[in-house]
Amino acid sequence: MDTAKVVGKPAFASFIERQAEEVSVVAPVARAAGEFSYGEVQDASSLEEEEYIPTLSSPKKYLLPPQEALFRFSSPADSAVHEGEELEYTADVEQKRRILLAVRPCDIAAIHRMDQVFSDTEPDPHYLARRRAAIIIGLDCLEPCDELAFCAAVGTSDADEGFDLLLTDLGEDWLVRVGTDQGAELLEECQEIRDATEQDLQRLKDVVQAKEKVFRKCQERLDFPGEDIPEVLEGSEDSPVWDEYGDRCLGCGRCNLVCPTCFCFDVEDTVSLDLKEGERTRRWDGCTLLEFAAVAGGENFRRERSDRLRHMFLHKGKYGPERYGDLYCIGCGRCARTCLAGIDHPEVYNALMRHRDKGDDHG
Amino acid sequence: MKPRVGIFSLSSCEGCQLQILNMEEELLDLVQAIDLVSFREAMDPISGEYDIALVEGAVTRESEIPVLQEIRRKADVLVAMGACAAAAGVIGLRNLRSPEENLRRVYGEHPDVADDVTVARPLDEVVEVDYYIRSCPIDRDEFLHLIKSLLMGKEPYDPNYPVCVECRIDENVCLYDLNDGEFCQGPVTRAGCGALCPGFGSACMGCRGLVDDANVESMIDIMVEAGIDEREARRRLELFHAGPEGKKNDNGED
Amino acid sequence: MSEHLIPQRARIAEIIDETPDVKTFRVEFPWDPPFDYMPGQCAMLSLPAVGEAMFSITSSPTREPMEFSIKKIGRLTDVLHRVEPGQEIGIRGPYGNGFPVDAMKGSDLLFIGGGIGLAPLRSLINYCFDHRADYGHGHIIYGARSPADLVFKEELFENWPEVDNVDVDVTVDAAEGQKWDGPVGFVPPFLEELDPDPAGKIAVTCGPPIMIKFVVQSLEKMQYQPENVITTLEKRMKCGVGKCGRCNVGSQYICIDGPVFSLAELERLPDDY
Repeated sequence: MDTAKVVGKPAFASFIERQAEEVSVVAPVARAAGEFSYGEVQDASSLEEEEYIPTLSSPKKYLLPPQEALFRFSSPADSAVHEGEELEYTADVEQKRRILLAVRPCDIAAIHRMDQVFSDTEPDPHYLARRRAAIIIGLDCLEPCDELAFCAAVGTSDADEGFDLLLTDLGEDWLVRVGTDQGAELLEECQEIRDATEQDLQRLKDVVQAKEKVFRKCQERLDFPGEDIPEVLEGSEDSPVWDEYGDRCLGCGRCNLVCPTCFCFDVEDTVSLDLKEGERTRRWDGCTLLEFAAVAGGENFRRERSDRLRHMFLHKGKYGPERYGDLYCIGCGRCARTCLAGIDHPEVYNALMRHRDKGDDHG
Repeated sequence: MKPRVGIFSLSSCEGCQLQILNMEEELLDLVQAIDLVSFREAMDPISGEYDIALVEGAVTRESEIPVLQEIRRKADVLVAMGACAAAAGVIGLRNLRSPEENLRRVYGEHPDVADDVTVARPLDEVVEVDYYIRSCPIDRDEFLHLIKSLLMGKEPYDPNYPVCVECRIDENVCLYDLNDGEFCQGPVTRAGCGALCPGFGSACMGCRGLVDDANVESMIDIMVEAGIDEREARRRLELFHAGPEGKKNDNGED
Repeated sequence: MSEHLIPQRARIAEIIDETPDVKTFRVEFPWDPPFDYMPGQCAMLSLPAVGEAMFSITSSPTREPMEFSIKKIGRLTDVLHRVEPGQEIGIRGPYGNGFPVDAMKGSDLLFIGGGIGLAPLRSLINYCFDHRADYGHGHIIYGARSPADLVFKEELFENWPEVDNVDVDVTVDAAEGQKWDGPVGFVPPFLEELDPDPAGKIAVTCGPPIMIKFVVQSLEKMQYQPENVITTLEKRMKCGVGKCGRCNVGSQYICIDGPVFSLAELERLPDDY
């Protein structure tokens, strides 16, 4: 396995505090009503948050911001819009060093999927620059965070890769697994740290083994193994389950906007009042929103809410795996937590499974 | 040539005009870009020449109809500015009772002091409307977006997704999670305001109107579950769009 | 290709009125040279501050200049239809897979177009005619709403019928008082009436989704095999590089994996296209 270190919690806390003086450190911060959101922190207290539930938005927002300028355009002419001679295009890529602290295994898995999308075909310079400038210090979950999570069912309750450092709570100490050279380099600045002994590794093994039992209920939220999700969705296009949930669905896009693997975006130009300069901006979009699949002239390929809900599930559970090899649902439960109509992914998957077994979709 | 812009008021609180005056930072740039030819309710709207007419307020009196028709005739582009102009707005609440009943309630023995009062109608029930700036009052950024779009000859962007989109992006704690008696209509109300009200902890009251495929029944279920009765939930959803159209869809419930 | 989705600078050299709502834009590249492309590929065209959209390239790579025939249908195209020659535009591409011109070699070709759908077909038609020896008999079947809505009239009525071993049949939905002495009727029944033999033939159809749907039904009725029926899909696209998700159908992105699909490929996709 990757190298492992052990450090006392106070020593690691002061290491984080020193980092926060140099670079931006972001971590889950408590909000009202028991919610959390990622924000700038000055210390490591997020690592010991006992009431943690997945943040309102995932750390994705630091890699693919809700809104960002792709490039700017300007013209010395009276108007860039109608004259446009000597039009100039410029792009600034943000490279701000940032530590993403206390990233849970599910969100580490989500970032891995975002990496797949934005490195594929024509790599996205904006995403990749932010990604390269990011250091991920993960935090292993020793118990499920809340009853809506089903990470254990989709294989994201443990992280084996995708982090620079991964912390596991050993009581007085952190066991620090080093995932990358960048992580190892960073750790050189951490004082009072030592290599893990055989005994430490045994403690880690015990902790990880204990997880299996603790996460059983989380795993059992899905009535079948997570790797079968693509198969359960296969041929589900005409299942009555979509109409049933489509009736409740508000088509409001909340699930898309909180999903750590939703990557779709819209593009819109903005311009100054004198029309001489402007930006081409992209912003998060959502496939459950009415106009997502509408084309110029009024045709809409997914006009019904049930069509759009189905597309979202199929994208997470079937199209994503077909294209990139991984499930695009990482089981964090954010979508169910935010859904006012109470639509919960495992519940929908289970309903599809039951209908399939009864043979009442087109098969 | 700079487009000539006229700003007119029908029945309204004039709060939308005030929003334009409140744009301290952009006002100078604005008058560089456009030629403001009429900007006061007191000015005779029939006089002057203009290319773009921005009209706030709803049509609530017979005498306003020819005025609006004349504005429409003279303008190349007519914009309904604000909730009253776009959807009858709060003034539309009067449509929940007959005009005669309203006059009797307000003026008692002397209903004839306002003898040409009609139902409240959004502009597009009287004349053709090219574009809308929604909200009560209008949002300054949206106003500027409209002006810039018109300068470019481009159709302004009018979001047709709900307030929840902007609210989730801002990572506000949902008012339904706070459970403190706010019955937010964000899930069915058109965005574009930047989730202003929920961002300050107040329920969205739907001033921008419903999104095109609003799941109103699901919204009512959610409001009922949060603690109000169905009748009250429906009344709240009507606050900004109880225009004649809204009334027709209401199955006659008062 | 373009980093940051920044377009290449180009200029509209000439604008040709095709119909009341379709114009052909000839594009010149006074700054950097144009990109290479193949028939059926697309490009993102933009006007600064107005917006960007995907259009199929209407010209054949065998001919200059690069052309786009564009119907006035939305926010960007409304403005495009008002610009004058000399207008600077942004362009990036090429995007998409294009028609399988190599696999089509040696076959007879049946082109079935409706309305502005002749735009991507025109690129393919002229490409095949410029490589005349590589392809067999050519049959162009085209229809529009009315005589005034027919695009590329000079090619339809003068140039293409003159090409060796080529038939051209044109219909209109309704003539409505316009001068027209040709056939009247929708494309699918017109196609069935002409009944071109499927043997050794590849059918390529582009047009409004509803027309494609019925043309495909007609072709199936006429015993065309799904792998010999080719069409193009339309979706709104925001990036062109398989990221924005707008053109996603099943595991496919139309901007990368399409827009050209055989009927056999489409049968494996979900039905939301």
